[in-house]
Amino acid sequence: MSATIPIAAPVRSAVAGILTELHAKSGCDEIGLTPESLAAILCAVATKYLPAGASESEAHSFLLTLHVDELALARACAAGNNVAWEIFLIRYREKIYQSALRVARESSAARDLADSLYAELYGTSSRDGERVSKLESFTGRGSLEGWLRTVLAQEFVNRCRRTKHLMSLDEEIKDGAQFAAPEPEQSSSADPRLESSIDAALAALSGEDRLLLAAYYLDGRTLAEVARMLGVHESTVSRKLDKLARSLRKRILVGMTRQGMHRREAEEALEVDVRDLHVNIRCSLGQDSPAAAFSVKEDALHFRQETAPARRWKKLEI
Amino acid sequence: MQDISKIVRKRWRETAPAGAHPDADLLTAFAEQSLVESERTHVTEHLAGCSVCREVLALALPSTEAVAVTVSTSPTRAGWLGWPVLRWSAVVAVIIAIISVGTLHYRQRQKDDTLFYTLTPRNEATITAERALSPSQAAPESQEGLPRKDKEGRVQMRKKAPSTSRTDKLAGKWRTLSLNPTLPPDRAGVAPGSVTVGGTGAGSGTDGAPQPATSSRHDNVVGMGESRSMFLDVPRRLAPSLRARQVAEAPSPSQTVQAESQAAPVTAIAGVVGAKVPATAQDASSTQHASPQWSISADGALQRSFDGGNTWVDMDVNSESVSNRSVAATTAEITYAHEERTKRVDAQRSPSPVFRAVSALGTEVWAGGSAAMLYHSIDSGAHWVRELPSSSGATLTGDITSIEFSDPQHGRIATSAGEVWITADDGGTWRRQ
Repeated sequence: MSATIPIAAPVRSAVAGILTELHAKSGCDEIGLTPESLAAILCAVATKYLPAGASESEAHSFLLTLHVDELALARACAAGNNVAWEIFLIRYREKIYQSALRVARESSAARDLADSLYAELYGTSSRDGERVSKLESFTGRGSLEGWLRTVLAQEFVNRCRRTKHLMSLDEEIKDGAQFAAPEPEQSSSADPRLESSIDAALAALSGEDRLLLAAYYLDGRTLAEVARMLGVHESTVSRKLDKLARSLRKRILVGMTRQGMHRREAEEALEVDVRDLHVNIRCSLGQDSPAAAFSVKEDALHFRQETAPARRWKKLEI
Repeated sequence: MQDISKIVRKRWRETAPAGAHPDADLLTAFAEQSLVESERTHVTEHLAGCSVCREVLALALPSTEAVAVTVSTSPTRAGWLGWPVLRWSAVVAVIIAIISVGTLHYRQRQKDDTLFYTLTPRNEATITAERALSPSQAAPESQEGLPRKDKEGRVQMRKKAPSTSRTDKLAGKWRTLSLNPTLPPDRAGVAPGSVTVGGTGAGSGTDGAPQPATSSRHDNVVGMGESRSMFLDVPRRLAPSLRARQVAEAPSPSQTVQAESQAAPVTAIAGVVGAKVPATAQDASSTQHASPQWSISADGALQRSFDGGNTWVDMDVNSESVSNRSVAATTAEITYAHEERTKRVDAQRSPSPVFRAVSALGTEVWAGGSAAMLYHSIDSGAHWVRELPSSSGATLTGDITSIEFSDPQHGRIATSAGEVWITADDGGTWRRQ
């Protein structure tokens, strides 16, 4: 908990301003957290997330958004306080298991996941002779329950990637893919004009628009899921997606015609079936960037039925 | 919804840059909508390009109840069954229902002027209803839950599955609609005896409201008077006779609607049913479990009331479901041509026993009458089984004059031939005392 980063003065004063109030509200006395320790924690968190030149009022409002009581509890647990740990177990033990069940969908995998998380939270690993708990890294920006869920989800996804990556190589060997016919040119034979238009059109969209499109079309999620991810109503999502898909198509077509293609030709290029393209998958697979490699194999993670489009896509490629 | 072409998808996947993944705290805060604008944009930008983080986010989302924004969790893409369409179609259906109720009411008013009111004294046969409640007691009891159901019923109607038995559905529906405050206490003696008479009037009354084909066959209630209708004020002394069966608009909870008549509300129900899911099985079962009262009319018809004696329905033990004994047969002069009713008259020609005694314990009913006819039902009269007590060669003879069941297993039947038959296992075996 020692702050190796210098604390800016505004942050320090903002923390000092509401320290006593926060200290009382968070029940720090029961869990053995002194006001000084709490102050140090808050300063560290604020420094981590606030931009460099933040003013005291900005720091103040930032501090108010934190879940200070849960932050205090987590840090007290990380420090080894038994009372804190008991409270944590009473409140969160069941939730951890249930969240694991929701994430892993299968009870033995869920239990496994939950147990490994417990171990990490308790701090079975040690660094420099001191027990290190994952709770140390909790900063209170989100609720502790949500944070636990996110951590579970991250662990689960990582596990899946590891196993599926290994498994998918086996699959390829089984399919005889390593004996594929002589490969065509390394880059995809899709029209470069098409590709550049697509890139340009996508780049022109805002992050949120692209997130919408990606979640729905690439990941194959349902409207409800996408709506929950973004915190908007489902009908809003539906409308936006429709508009976006149309405008994207139009923009791509316009981009292609600007580069000299005829409209008809552009439309045909857009509609060509991927199976007719000799796209080099190995190139994508061989990329170091984990995102790209993962995106090709991503259907491994989609156990759900709604992701049929993604699954279908994968089959076409291989 | 417009799809994006496969080429676009493929290209997009290949060119997605990752960047630095946000830590668990940021992702959690994103999911809980507690990031400031600049941070949110930054995380959104990353998420747009990183399917790993999107996957994590999707898995880590709070459960549906916790999400601040109400979203529906329908798996289908919003199509014809989307909520907005359903909402408007429900509104239209309600409007249609109101209009149809209004039309019926108007027509009934016209026909009521020509109705023939009679009042005939009736003698009750032996009744041994174990859980007979006095009507005044029953009325508030049966009604107190109704306001709640009325408000909820409409909501529930949308979501629950239709019940199998139409009668139950209608009866349940009816409960949802009526909002009857207490009835005068002098009903107790009058109620059963005057049933048939009220039926007479009611028959015509319900005739007055031409039933739609869907639901009129069953449960044409042998209605009772005491209808505190807003539209026709008949003096109290004509209690058992037909009072106006007019029903105010069905869905409005604020209007006083009588429990007696199911005629107009049936139509309203039919209108509503068309668009929404009808009354729930819960309603149906609640009417079943509301332990109906049983009675024998003076001409030997077995009758059942679900609403504490306000309305009585003739039971036909020969058919599977409850059907009304022909009321038109006794009021042949009233000829409201209606196909359903004439059909029903024909159906009723088969002989049914003349009942003399009935005993009910919860939903289990025993009814007996002439020529040793003994009928047993375990579902408040929806289905009947004919029983013939016998032991070592001898069978029950004579008319059954009394049935007493002190508990579900032990019963005692007396006949006009002076026999007494006892069972200790709910009718499985009998022995003569």
